Amino acid sequence: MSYKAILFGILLLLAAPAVSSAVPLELFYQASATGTNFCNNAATKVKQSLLIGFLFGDVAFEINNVMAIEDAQQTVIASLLQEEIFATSPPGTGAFMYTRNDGNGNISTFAGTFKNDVNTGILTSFTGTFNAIFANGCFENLTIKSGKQIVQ
Amino acid sequence: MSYKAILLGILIFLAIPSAAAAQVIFQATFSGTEFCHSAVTKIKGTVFITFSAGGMLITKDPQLKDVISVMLINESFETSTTAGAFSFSDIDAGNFGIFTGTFKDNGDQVTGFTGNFGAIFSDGCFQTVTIKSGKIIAQ
Repeated sequence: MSYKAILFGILLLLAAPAVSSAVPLELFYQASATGTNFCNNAATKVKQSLLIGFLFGDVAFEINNVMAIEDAQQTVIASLLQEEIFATSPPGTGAFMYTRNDGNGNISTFAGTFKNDVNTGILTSFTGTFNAIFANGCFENLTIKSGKQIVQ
Repeated sequence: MSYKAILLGILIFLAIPSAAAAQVIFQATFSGTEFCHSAVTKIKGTVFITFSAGGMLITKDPQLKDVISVMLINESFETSTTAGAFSFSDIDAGNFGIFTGTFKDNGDQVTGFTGNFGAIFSDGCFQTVTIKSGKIIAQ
Protein backbone atom coordinates (compact mmCIF):
# COMPACT_ATOMS: atom_id res chain seq x y z
CA MET A 1 0.00 0.00 0.00
CA SER A 2 1.47 3.29 -1.03
CA TYR A 3 1.65 6.33 1.17
CA LYS A 4 -0.78 7.96 -1.27
CA ALA A 5 -3.41 5.33 -0.53
CA ILE A 6 -2.91 5.78 3.22
CA LEU A 7 -3.15 9.54 2.86
CA PHE A 8 -6.29 9.16 0.78
CA GLY A 9 -7.82 6.95 3.46
CA ILE A 10 -7.04 9.47 6.15
CA LEU A 11 -8.53 12.24 4.04
CA LEU A 12 -11.71 10.23 3.55
CA LEU A 13 -11.99 9.69 7.28
CA LEU A 14 -11.50 13.37 7.94
CA ALA A 15 -13.87 14.46 5.22
CA ALA A 16 -16.85 12.27 6.07
CA PRO A 17 -17.71 13.79 9.46
CA ALA A 18 -17.18 17.24 8.08
CA VAL A 19 -19.74 16.63 5.37
CA SER A 20 -22.30 15.13 7.70
CA SER A 21 -22.06 18.06 10.11
CA ALA A 22 -22.08 20.72 7.40
CA VAL A 23 -24.84 23.28 7.24
CA PRO A 24 -27.74 22.06 5.11
CA LEU A 25 -27.57 23.61 1.70
CA GLU A 26 -31.04 25.08 1.75
CA LEU A 27 -33.23 26.08 4.68
CA PHE A 28 -36.85 27.12 4.82
CA TYR A 29 -38.81 29.06 7.39
CA GLN A 30 -42.46 29.56 7.95
CA ALA A 31 -43.31 33.24 8.04
CA SER A 32 -46.25 35.55 8.49
CA ALA A 33 -46.83 38.56 6.30
CA THR A 34 -49.06 41.59 6.69
CA GLY A 35 -49.40 44.55 4.41
CA THR A 36 -51.20 45.82 1.35
CA ASN A 37 -51.64 44.39 -2.11
CA PHE A 38 -52.49 46.75 -4.94
CA CYS A 39 -54.10 45.00 -7.87
CA ASN A 40 -56.99 45.32 -10.31
CA ASN A 41 -57.93 48.82 -9.17
CA ALA A 42 -58.09 47.78 -5.52
CA ALA A 43 -55.86 48.20 -2.50
CA THR A 44 -56.37 45.17 -0.29
CA LYS A 45 -55.06 44.45 3.18
CA VAL A 46 -53.09 41.24 3.18
CA LYS A 47 -52.38 38.79 5.96
CA GLN A 48 -50.93 35.49 4.89
CA SER A 49 -48.50 32.71 5.65
CA LEU A 50 -45.37 32.46 3.57
CA LEU A 51 -42.53 30.06 3.12
CA ILE A 52 -39.10 31.68 2.99
CA GLY A 53 -36.12 29.74 1.70
CA PHE A 54 -32.43 30.54 1.67
CA LEU A 55 -30.22 28.76 -0.83
CA PHE A 56 -27.36 28.65 1.67
CA GLY A 57 -28.63 27.90 5.12
CA ASP A 58 -25.75 29.52 6.98
CA VAL A 59 -27.13 32.88 5.90
CA ALA A 60 -25.16 35.04 8.31
CA PHE A 61 -21.88 33.68 6.96
CA GLU A 62 -22.70 33.99 3.27
CA ILE A 63 -21.65 36.88 1.06
CA ASN A 64 -23.84 35.66 -1.77
CA ASN A 65 -27.20 34.05 -1.27
CA VAL A 66 -30.66 33.65 -2.73
CA MET A 67 -33.91 34.20 -0.89
CA ALA A 68 -37.08 32.60 -2.18
CA ILE A 69 -40.45 33.88 -1.04
CA GLU A 70 -43.26 31.41 -1.62
CA ASP A 71 -46.91 31.40 -0.74
CA ALA A 72 -48.51 28.68 1.34
CA GLN A 73 -48.92 26.54 -1.78
CA GLN A 74 -45.19 26.86 -2.39
CA THR A 75 -45.71 28.98 -5.49
CA VAL A 76 -42.75 31.30 -5.83
CA ILE A 77 -43.68 34.95 -5.35
CA ALA A 78 -40.15 36.24 -5.77
CA SER A 79 -36.61 34.97 -5.83
CA LEU A 80 -34.16 37.62 -4.69
CA LEU A 81 -30.39 37.96 -4.67
CA GLN A 82 -28.53 39.15 -1.62
CA GLU A 83 -27.23 42.68 -2.07
CA GLU A 84 -25.82 43.40 1.35
CA ILE A 85 -25.36 41.76 4.70
CA PHE A 86 -23.59 42.84 7.86
CA ALA A 87 -23.35 41.87 11.48
CA THR A 88 -24.59 44.19 14.16
CA SER A 89 -24.13 44.27 17.87
CA PRO A 90 -24.57 42.13 19.94
CA PRO A 91 -23.00 39.09 18.24
CA GLY A 92 -25.55 36.90 16.55
CA THR A 93 -27.52 39.75 15.04
CA GLY A 94 -27.36 41.46 11.69
CA ALA A 95 -29.12 43.11 8.79
CA PHE A 96 -29.50 42.12 5.17
CA MET A 97 -30.93 43.34 1.91
CA TYR A 98 -32.15 41.32 -1.05
CA THR A 99 -33.27 42.60 -4.44
CA ARG A 100 -34.64 41.30 -7.67
CA ASN A 101 -35.02 42.72 -11.15
CA ASP A 102 -35.66 40.07 -13.76
CA GLY A 103 -35.89 42.55 -16.61
CA ASN A 104 -39.46 41.53 -17.32
CA GLY A 105 -41.19 43.88 -14.93
CA ASN A 106 -40.74 41.90 -11.74
CA ILE A 107 -38.88 44.13 -9.30
CA SER A 108 -38.64 43.64 -5.55
CA THR A 109 -36.66 44.43 -2.43
CA PHE A 110 -36.46 42.91 1.00
CA ALA A 111 -34.63 44.66 3.82
CA GLY A 112 -34.57 43.43 7.37
CA THR A 113 -32.79 42.28 10.46
CA PHE A 114 -31.99 38.82 11.72
CA LYS A 115 -30.71 36.80 14.61
CA ASN A 116 -28.39 33.90 13.98
CA ASP A 117 -26.54 31.09 15.66
CA VAL A 118 -23.05 32.51 16.20
CA ASN A 119 -21.42 29.16 15.51
CA THR A 120 -23.27 28.02 12.40
CA GLY A 121 -24.59 31.25 10.88
CA ILE A 122 -28.04 29.71 10.62
CA LEU A 123 -30.83 32.19 11.17
CA THR A 124 -32.93 31.74 14.24
CA SER A 125 -35.32 34.53 13.27
CA PHE A 126 -35.66 37.46 10.92
CA THR A 127 -38.05 40.26 10.09
CA GLY A 128 -38.19 42.80 7.32
CA THR A 129 -40.11 44.69 4.68
CA PHE A 130 -40.82 43.28 1.25
CA ASN A 131 -41.70 45.64 -1.59
CA ALA A 132 -42.60 44.12 -4.91
CA ILE A 133 -43.80 45.18 -8.31
CA PHE A 134 -44.97 42.39 -10.58
CA ALA A 135 -45.04 42.11 -14.34
CA ASN A 136 -48.85 41.97 -14.34
CA GLY A 137 -48.99 45.49 -12.88
CA CYS A 138 -49.89 44.43 -9.36
CA PHE A 139 -47.66 45.51 -6.49
CA GLU A 140 -47.50 45.07 -2.74
CA ASN A 141 -45.62 45.83 0.41
CA LEU A 142 -45.47 43.34 3.24
CA THR A 143 -43.93 43.14 6.66
CA ILE A 144 -42.56 39.64 7.02
CA LYS A 145 -41.79 37.93 10.30
CA SER A 146 -40.20 34.53 10.40
CA GLY A 147 -41.63 31.61 12.28
CA LYS A 148 -40.10 28.23 12.84
CA GLN A 149 -37.51 26.66 10.62
CA ILE A 150 -38.84 23.85 8.48
CA VAL A 151 -36.91 20.67 7.98
CA GLN A 152 -37.39 19.45 4.43
CA MET B 1 -22.26 53.05 -19.54
CA SER B 2 -25.50 51.17 -20.00
CA TYR B 3 -28.55 52.50 -21.78
CA LYS B 4 -30.28 52.58 -18.39
CA ALA B 5 -27.68 54.97 -17.02
CA ILE B 6 -28.05 57.20 -20.07
CA LEU B 7 -31.83 57.12 -19.74
CA LEU B 8 -31.58 57.98 -16.07
CA GLY B 9 -29.34 60.92 -16.86
CA ILE B 10 -31.81 62.23 -19.41
CA LEU B 11 -34.67 61.82 -16.96
CA ILE B 12 -32.83 63.70 -14.24
CA PHE B 13 -32.04 66.45 -16.70
CA LEU B 14 -35.65 66.65 -17.77
CA ALA B 15 -37.26 66.16 -14.38
CA ILE B 16 -35.50 68.72 -12.25
CA PRO B 17 -36.04 71.86 -14.33
CA SER B 18 -39.65 70.98 -15.11
CA ALA B 19 -40.38 70.25 -11.49
CA ALA B 20 -38.87 73.50 -10.40
CA ALA B 21 -40.72 75.45 -13.04
CA ALA B 22 -44.25 74.17 -12.92
CA GLN B 23 -44.78 71.05 -10.93
CA VAL B 24 -46.19 70.52 -7.48
CA ILE B 25 -43.56 69.97 -4.83
CA PHE B 26 -44.63 68.16 -1.68
CA GLN B 27 -42.93 68.40 1.65
CA ALA B 28 -43.18 64.91 3.11
CA THR B 29 -42.23 63.15 6.31
CA PHE B 30 -40.50 59.82 6.44
CA SER B 31 -39.94 57.37 9.25
CA GLY B 32 -38.44 53.94 9.24
CA THR B 33 -35.17 52.10 9.54
CA GLU B 34 -31.75 52.70 8.06
CA PHE B 35 -29.21 49.91 7.83
CA CYS B 36 -25.74 51.35 7.48
CA HIS B 37 -22.18 50.90 8.76
CA SER B 38 -23.06 47.83 10.79
CA ALA B 39 -25.85 49.66 12.55
CA VAL B 40 -29.62 49.54 12.41
CA THR B 41 -31.01 52.97 13.14
CA LYS B 42 -34.50 54.37 13.42
CA ILE B 43 -34.75 57.40 11.18
CA LYS B 44 -37.24 60.21 10.83
CA GLY B 45 -37.14 63.36 8.77
CA THR B 46 -38.35 65.44 5.88
CA VAL B 47 -37.97 64.94 2.16
CA PHE B 48 -39.29 66.77 -0.87
CA ILE B 49 -41.12 65.00 -3.63
CA THR B 50 -42.39 65.93 -7.03
CA PHE B 51 -44.07 63.92 -9.74
CA SER B 52 -43.61 64.14 -13.46
CA ALA B 53 -45.49 62.30 -16.17
CA GLY B 54 -43.07 59.43 -15.99
CA GLY B 55 -41.68 59.43 -12.52
CA MET B 56 -41.14 60.61 -9.00
CA LEU B 57 -38.22 62.59 -7.66
CA ILE B 58 -37.24 62.38 -3.98
CA THR B 59 -34.79 64.96 -2.70
CA LYS B 60 -33.43 66.24 0.58
CA ASP B 61 -34.00 69.87 -0.29
CA PRO B 62 -36.93 71.91 -1.64
CA GLN B 63 -34.76 73.10 -4.52
CA LEU B 64 -34.75 69.48 -5.73
CA LYS B 65 -30.97 69.41 -6.09
CA ASP B 66 -29.87 66.96 -3.41
CA VAL B 67 -31.38 63.88 -4.99
CA ILE B 68 -32.14 60.73 -3.01
CA SER B 69 -33.87 58.82 -5.75
CA VAL B 70 -35.13 59.30 -9.27
CA MET B 71 -37.88 56.79 -9.78
CA LEU B 72 -39.71 55.72 -12.89
CA ILE B 73 -43.40 54.93 -12.67
CA ASN B 74 -44.30 51.29 -13.04
CA GLU B 75 -48.02 51.34 -12.45
CA SER B 76 -50.76 53.74 -11.48
CA PHE B 77 -54.46 53.10 -11.21
CA GLU B 78 -57.55 54.68 -9.75
CA THR B 79 -59.29 52.97 -6.85
CA SER B 80 -62.05 55.59 -6.78
CA THR B 81 -62.75 58.91 -8.45
CA THR B 82 -60.45 60.70 -6.02
CA ALA B 83 -57.92 58.07 -5.01
CA GLY B 84 -55.55 55.53 -6.44
CA ALA B 85 -52.40 53.50 -6.03
CA PHE B 86 -49.05 53.70 -7.74
CA SER B 87 -45.65 52.09 -7.83
CA PHE B 88 -42.25 53.40 -8.83
CA SER B 89 -38.79 51.91 -9.14
CA ASP B 90 -35.27 53.28 -9.23
CA ILE B 91 -32.92 50.93 -11.00
CA ASP B 92 -29.50 52.09 -12.01
CA ALA B 93 -25.93 51.03 -11.53
CA GLY B 94 -25.72 52.36 -8.00
CA ASN B 95 -29.16 52.51 -6.49
CA PHE B 96 -32.06 50.11 -6.35
CA GLY B 97 -35.35 51.14 -4.85
CA ILE B 98 -39.09 50.68 -4.93
CA PHE B 99 -41.91 52.91 -3.79
CA THR B 100 -45.45 51.59 -3.52
CA GLY B 101 -48.32 53.56 -2.13
CA THR B 102 -51.68 55.21 -2.41
CA PHE B 103 -52.64 58.72 -3.41
CA LYS B 104 -55.50 61.15 -3.45
CA ASP B 105 -56.15 63.35 -6.41
CA ASN B 106 -58.50 66.06 -7.58
CA GLY B 107 -58.88 64.70 -11.06
CA ASP B 108 -56.03 66.82 -12.28
CA GLN B 109 -53.11 66.17 -9.99
CA VAL B 110 -52.02 64.28 -6.91
CA THR B 111 -53.04 66.13 -3.76
CA GLY B 112 -51.59 63.75 -1.19
CA PHE B 113 -49.98 60.35 -0.90
CA THR B 114 -48.45 57.81 1.40
CA GLY B 115 -46.33 54.76 0.74
CA ASN B 116 -43.39 52.59 1.51
CA PHE B 117 -39.93 53.18 0.10
CA GLY B 118 -37.33 50.42 0.20
CA ALA B 119 -33.93 51.12 -1.31
CA ILE B 120 -30.28 50.24 -1.30
CA PHE B 121 -27.72 52.87 -2.23
CA SER B 122 -24.32 52.79 -3.89
CA ASP B 123 -22.52 52.98 -0.54
CA GLY B 124 -24.14 49.72 0.59
CA CYS B 125 -26.50 51.38 3.04
CA PHE B 126 -30.16 50.50 2.75
CA GLN B 127 -33.43 51.61 4.27
CA THR B 128 -37.12 51.02 4.48
CA VAL B 129 -39.26 54.01 5.31
CA THR B 130 -42.86 55.08 5.23
CA ILE B 131 -43.34 58.38 3.45
CA LYS B 132 -46.35 60.60 4.03
CA SER B 133 -46.97 63.75 2.09
CA GLY B 134 -47.48 67.02 3.88
CA LYS B 135 -48.09 70.46 2.56
CA ILE B 136 -47.50 71.56 -0.99
CA ILE B 137 -44.66 74.05 -0.92
CA ALA B 138 -44.52 75.03 -4.59
CA GLN B 139 -46.79 74.82 -7.56
